[in-house]
Amino acid sequence: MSGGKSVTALSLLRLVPMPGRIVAGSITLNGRDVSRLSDDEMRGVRRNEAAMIFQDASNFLNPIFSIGDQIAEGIADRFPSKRERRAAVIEALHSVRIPDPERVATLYPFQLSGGMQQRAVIAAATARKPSLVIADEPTTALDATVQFQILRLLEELQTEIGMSLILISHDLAVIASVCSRVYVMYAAEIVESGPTRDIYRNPAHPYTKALLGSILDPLEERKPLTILEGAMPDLSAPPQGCRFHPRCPAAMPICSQAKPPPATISSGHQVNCWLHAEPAVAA
Amino acid sequence: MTAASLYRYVLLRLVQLVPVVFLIIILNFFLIRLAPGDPIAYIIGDAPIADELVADLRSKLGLDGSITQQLLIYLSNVAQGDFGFSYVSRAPVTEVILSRLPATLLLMITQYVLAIAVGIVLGVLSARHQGSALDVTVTAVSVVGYALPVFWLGQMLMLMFSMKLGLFPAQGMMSLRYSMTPVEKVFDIAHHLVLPALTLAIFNLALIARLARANMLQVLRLEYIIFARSKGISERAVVYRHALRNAVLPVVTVIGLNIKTLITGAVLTETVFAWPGLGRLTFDAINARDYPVLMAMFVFVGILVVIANLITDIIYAWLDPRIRLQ
Repeated sequence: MSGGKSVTALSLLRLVPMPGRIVAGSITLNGRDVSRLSDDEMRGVRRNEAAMIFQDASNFLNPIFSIGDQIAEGIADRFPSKRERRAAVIEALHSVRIPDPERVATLYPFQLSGGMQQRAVIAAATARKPSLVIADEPTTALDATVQFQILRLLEELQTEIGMSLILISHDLAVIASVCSRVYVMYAAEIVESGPTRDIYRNPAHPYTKALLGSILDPLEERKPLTILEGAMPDLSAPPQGCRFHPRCPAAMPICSQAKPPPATISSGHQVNCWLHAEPAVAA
Repeated sequence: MTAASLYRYVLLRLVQLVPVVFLIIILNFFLIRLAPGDPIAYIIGDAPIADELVADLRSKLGLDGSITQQLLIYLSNVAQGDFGFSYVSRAPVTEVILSRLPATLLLMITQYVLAIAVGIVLGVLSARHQGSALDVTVTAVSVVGYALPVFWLGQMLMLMFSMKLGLFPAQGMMSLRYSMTPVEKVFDIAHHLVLPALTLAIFNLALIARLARANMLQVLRLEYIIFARSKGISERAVVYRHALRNAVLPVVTVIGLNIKTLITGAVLTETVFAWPGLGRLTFDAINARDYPVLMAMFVFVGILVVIANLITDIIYAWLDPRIRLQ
């Protein structure tokens, strides 16, 4: 939980551990500003509206409670009767394609494989039928075949439950196959956003270009990869102006002085970069 | 772990007691006899006694043969459940120990329950409000409480609360009054119990509070706490169900391992407060070189430690499925 993406994800549900806190900005979910809710209201949001899936399920499941118990506690207010709750737990495990859900509900996390643990975490999230699921690198800890199964499962659940999915990933192939809209973040700020197709075909920000240039192309083995010099800035003291300017191949004097204003490339495709700034604003 | 496998496990551990006790006896037998001092010298004191009488006493007490002979005789007696007679009181050792056991159990259980309950509560509160005035106080007091020697603390408490303030009796387990109703008697014993129990509890309380706090702080930072919170359950459920049960696991281990210090701590505390329990019995037996009583006490403590470890393991298995199911 070091990167800007994961902290952003946790912030959305106000789960950033102490001493972290939300300093500025707002988070709107289903028309309400989540950042202004009371702790109690926030718990209601987590129960009913938004759930989260994490990178390494084995660390996110409590080792000493059964899978069934860990799913059940999130839906306790919805199913006060024990029998209904149990049925809902089995149903949730079934919906994430876990075989023999009755038995798996009684098992403990250490008795499951990594892929099964991730399915259990997803079941705990989707059992609450949330309108939004935030998935933070949900497949990074898994091997390729399981990764594919989990991604397909998430897509299927999206239509089954009718939930929106925020997928946080650095895996460009995963993003391209799952997402309809992409937000590119650098140093905890959005630098470019747009429909997935536009971002991949027509990247506007130098950082996005560098990211796409770092993909290995199996058909063109000798193609040189784009290399970005330098390292991620210290987020407690980010660079002035555009946060990317110290590493940007196209940096201009203005980049270190002021934050670039948002510019529209095409419908829904926005970039924050001085290269694309309107002349009127730049002047 | 099914009931049958638990039963087999407990039985196996109890069978393992036999070689453990055997080893305890052999080691302590030599250890006690290696220590300076002679029970005969203690019994006759300064009286001028003929050498023949001393030799006679020596053979009566079974101290005349070689040390290996004495050991073999002792082992065969113990195997038959006979721990011999106290050199001092002439009563059967088993009887002596059993008559002192209730006083020690009362003191030990009281102080340990107090230390565990208050220690865990303070540790958890301290961890939840890290850096608060309560946390700072608990941390400081527990460092001091852990470092204080028990006998000194006992004397200071006695000086303060019985000598100066006159709130609690300083010595013994009950008042020397004959006409007490059973209810009065219970209150009288409880009144006497306060200072020795407190003396012993402070050390364990400090240890448990520090341990509970450290474990709680560590567990509260783990990912599964974030996951629990993300489900929208109450903060109370997060802390007391998800975090506490994981955080007490190491505390259970330490509590179990510390059962042995209950007896060693009792030797000092019972001596300071003239509490008529096993601790003082051991202290007196050491002074008098009362070998049979000392030997039986060591065997008793050995068995107690093994059983305490067994109970710890069972509680651990009950709390943690990773132990139970593997």
